[in-house]
This record gives sequence, C-alpha cells and structure tokens, in this order.
Amino acid sequence: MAATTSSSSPTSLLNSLSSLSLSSSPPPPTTVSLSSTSSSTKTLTAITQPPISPLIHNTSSNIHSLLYPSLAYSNNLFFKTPYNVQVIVGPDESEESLIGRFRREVFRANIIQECKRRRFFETNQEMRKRKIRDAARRRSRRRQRPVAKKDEISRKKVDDEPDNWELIDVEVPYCQ
Amino acid sequence: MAKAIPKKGSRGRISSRKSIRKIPKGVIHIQASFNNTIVTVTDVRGRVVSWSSVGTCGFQGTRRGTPFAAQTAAANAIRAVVDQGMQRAEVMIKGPGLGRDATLRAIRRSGILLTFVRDVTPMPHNGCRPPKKRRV
Repeated sequence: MAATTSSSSPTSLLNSLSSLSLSSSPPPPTTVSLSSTSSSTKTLTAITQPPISPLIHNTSSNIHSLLYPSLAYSNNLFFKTPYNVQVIVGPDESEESLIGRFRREVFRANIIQECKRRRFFETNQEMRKRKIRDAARRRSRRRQRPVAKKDEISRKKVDDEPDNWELIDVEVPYCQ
Repeated sequence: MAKAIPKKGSRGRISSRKSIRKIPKGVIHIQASFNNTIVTVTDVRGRVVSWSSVGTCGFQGTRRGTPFAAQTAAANAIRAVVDQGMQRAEVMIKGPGLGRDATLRAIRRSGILLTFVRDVTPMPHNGCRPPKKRRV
C-alpha cells in the first residue's frame, strides 16, 4: 500500500517540517486533529526520536513499526496532505539525479503497478494468477542472486593458484 | 474537487483583476493520466493561480498522452507564474502516465527552486469496485 519513504537526514527533515509549518497558513478547523500542523509540531518536540526514524529507512521500518506502531503511517499524519513518496530536493542537484531518484522511489513504492492493476476490475481467478506469477518471480530472483556469487568466487580461486611446474634455474652443487 | 475553481479566461491567465498577487512560494500540481496531463499552479493553501493542460496547448487525440506534450503544458503553466514572481515551489504528482518525468524536467529547466517532489496518487484501501475489463 502506501510505502513510507523519505530521503533526507533527520536534521534537514526537521528543518523542512518547521519551514512547512511556518510558511503554510493556519490549518482550517475542519482537518482531523492528527493531521493539523500545530499538533504535529507539538508532538515532534515532545517525542524527538521516534517520529524521525520511521520516515528515513525502508529497511529499518519493520523494527520501528513494531516498536512504534502508531507511527507506521506517519506520512499520512505529519503533513496536511498524505503522500506516497517524497523526495526532498537538495541545493544544486542535477536534473538527471533528481529524476532518477524520484523514479527509483516510485518504483520501490510500486505506485504505477498498483495504478495499472486497479484500473479495471480483476476477478478472483485473475488475482490468483497474478499472485502466483509474482511469487514465482520473487522466488526465482532470490535463487538467482546467491548462486551467481558462488560462481564468481570459484572462478577466482582457479585463476590465482600459481603453477609450480616451471624449471627453476639455480646452481646445484656437485652437479655439472 | 471540493472548491469551485473558476476556470474562466484564456489559457491559464488569472480571471479576476484584484488577484494579481505576488506569491513567492507555491505548489505545482501535476495530474498525469494516460491520455492527458494537467498542470495547475496554486498557492500554499491550494487556491489556483494558473493552470494549463495538454489540450489547451493545442494537441489533440493520441498526442495528448506523450511526454513532449506534457513538457509544453508545464512550460506554459510556469511561464505565466514566473512573471508573477514565484521562486520556490513544491511539486505534487498524481496518476500514472508519461507526463510525470517530462513535467519535472520542464519545471527544473524553468529555473524555479524546488523544495519537495511528492507523489500523491490516490490509493484506495480496496474501496470502490473499478469498471470491468475491456475486451479490446
């Protein structure tokens, strides 16, 4: 579903959050209490450590979702509008790197795939077929990678072994 | 949408006289569907300043879905806003479509400082039933 991704260090994230809250006008009273910026800044100052961590790393998000379950969907809570993917643009970033970074994040969040899947209704049969295909692909990917590594290592060992079959020119005493 | 957006006037120009306001920071919304790309520039609160789409740029039919057309639409929308003095902007991209990257490129080249680039494609948590499959 919505993957929590963000590519920035904690300090810059805090700065950007504070700038957002300062620049935006006061939130309309009808917004849910969880998503209003004033409450979010209060919660940020109160709990400085937990809210930052789930927003940064994808890999550590599992641990943090266990430790801080209420912050699993923090993307939806800390900003007025919920988002799937956010890329914070640094100063002097090239066009190519920005677009590449954005595309990678979107790909990791599987947004375009999901959109295409949800365009038309998919019957139970089709859903089962799709799941089998995805599982097969995941299994084949997991099996390909470790096998490739083993091949590389074995090849290297064969090449590095020195051959000791050459004749050595040394003066041997008592011989002519 | 919730707010009534008055889309009067010619291509992307502001309709009312008194709303020629200087907005240093704004939000660029890009809706990139498979057949079209709509670029809307609003202020931080969401009030529309100007908009442009591929259709208003003169493309028709299958060419509306191309990335080049999306680029021209974005350039069009931003030209109208840069004169107003917008320096920084956030980008919110919605929808699958070829216009996603092309508009980003155009925005980057126009010289506006980007703070965030966000994807706000609406994802149902298994909500409404989508239409049936096409038998083409």
